[in-house]
Amino acid sequence: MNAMTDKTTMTDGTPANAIEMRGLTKIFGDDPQSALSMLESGRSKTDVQAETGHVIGLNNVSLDVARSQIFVVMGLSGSGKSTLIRHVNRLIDPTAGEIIVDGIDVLKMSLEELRAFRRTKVAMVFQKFGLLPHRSVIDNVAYGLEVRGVGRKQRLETAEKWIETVGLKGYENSRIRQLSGGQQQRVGLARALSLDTDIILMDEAFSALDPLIRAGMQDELIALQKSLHKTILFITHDFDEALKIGDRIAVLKDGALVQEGKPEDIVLRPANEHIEEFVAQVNKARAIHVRSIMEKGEHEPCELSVDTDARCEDVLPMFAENQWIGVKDRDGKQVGRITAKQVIKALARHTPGVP
Amino acid sequence: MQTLPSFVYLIPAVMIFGPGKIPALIATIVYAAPPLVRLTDLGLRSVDPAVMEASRAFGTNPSQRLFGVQIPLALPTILAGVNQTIMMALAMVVIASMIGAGGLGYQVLQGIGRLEVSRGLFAGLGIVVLAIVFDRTTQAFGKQLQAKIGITEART
Ligand SMILES: Nc1ncnc2c1ncn2[C@@H]1O[C@H](COP(=O)(O)OP(=O)(O)OP(=O)(O)O)[C@@H](O)[C@H]1O
Ligand SMILES: [Mg+2]
Repeated sequence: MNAMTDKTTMTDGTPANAIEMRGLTKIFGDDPQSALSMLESGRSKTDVQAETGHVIGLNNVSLDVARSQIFVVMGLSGSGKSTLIRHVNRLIDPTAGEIIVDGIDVLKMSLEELRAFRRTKVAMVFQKFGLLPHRSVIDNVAYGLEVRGVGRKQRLETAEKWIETVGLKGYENSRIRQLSGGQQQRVGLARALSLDTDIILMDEAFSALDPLIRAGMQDELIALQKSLHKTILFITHDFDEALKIGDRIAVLKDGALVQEGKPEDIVLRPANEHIEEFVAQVNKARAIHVRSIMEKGEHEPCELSVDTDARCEDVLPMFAENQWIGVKDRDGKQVGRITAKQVIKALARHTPGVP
Repeated sequence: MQTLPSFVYLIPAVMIFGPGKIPALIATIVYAAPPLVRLTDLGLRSVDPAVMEASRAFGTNPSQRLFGVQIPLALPTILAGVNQTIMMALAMVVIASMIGAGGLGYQVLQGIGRLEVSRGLFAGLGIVVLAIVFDRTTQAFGKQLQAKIGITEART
């Protein structure tokens, strides 16, 4: 039997959150429990590490990843991002805390349930690719389907389609070692996407791609999410990337959750200096939505308009010809308008050091 | 297993079965099997953990991982073990013939006993040729497999 949790279910019985983590802590070492009690008594990560030699991978992280959104986890190298994502499909067991995916407690699953869960519910793209060197590209892409028990003809057809989507047509029968790093990463992407699972885990899935292909893949991912309503847990250390694709962003530092919120929340209201440093590097025009700074209300229709998802970066070029730009909702109704002055003010206000 | 002089293996085998082919066979197996076991173990354990983890993430069970990932990737190392085992088995040919295994080894033994140089020499050469043939075929097969999964490039 699956251990159902009824805490956060919607009226129709499906849980509101795709992934929930409660007080997740992971300590690497021989005796994690003693290190855990040290940590719980308020000692810092470096303290525990110096005294016991145990590494704190995650420190009391609680997160809710709502259904059908791209949730980005950010953080510097070693902040515990990969450790976090591995807990979702229980590639590693936590030292403390619980993980609930689709309303089911992952830690209470039997081995058989866990395997079925991995075959059908979550697909994963790995930071280190993890491709099978003895198989061709197409057999690698079809691997997940093969494990799931899909027939050969059908799985090769699906694999073919995804190989084309990631731009590797013509490489179907190549060996993995014949591909560049970026190409290998795309094989890993195709392998996960071909499974068509509701939840996709992506650990720095675009890190080895060149800027052009990377931008293309980001657009592809956003489109995929919009059309198929996938829940995507995406890991990156590139803040610009996080702002572009993230519906929500969480920032980790030393294994602990520092801030979680909408991209704008992070940019406009950084929780501490650590995040301010990130924000200082970032292209703010990309982070701030026009709707958050527009003049609300039904003004006379403007010549040009953008939708409510538009960001400052999208409207800036339009001011060359127009004074006012309208903002329309999904039904095409104008809900507000904005001037170049407002945009410039918004961008300037959030530059650190400028009063 | 390999530090003991190879004659020693003959003693318990002969004690249990008496002289003949069976004890010779058993002594040879005991003497020659360790490299195969050890290299197979090494090969299976040294498969890239990232690949194993990925395989696990797709919901494979242990036997699917063993046959689908570990054995194929460990095959070159396993073959190196096969090669070593064959060589060591051949080294036992002459010694085993002392307890009645017969064959080429017995010819060598007789050659020595009766001071028939040519007989001993030809039989000895026979064993060498056999060894070379086995060695070359297993090695070539192993290299071919290695090239297929792309391990050779790292070494050259
Ligand atoms: N298997 C392990 N054994 C011991 N320590 C580990 C293990 N895996 C991770 N760690 C430690 O946990 C911490 C977090 O590692 P993690 O791989 O999650 O970082 P990350 O945020 O993914 O970094 P990167 O951006 O470099 O991939 C690090 O300090 C690392 O040394
Ligand atoms: Mg990582």
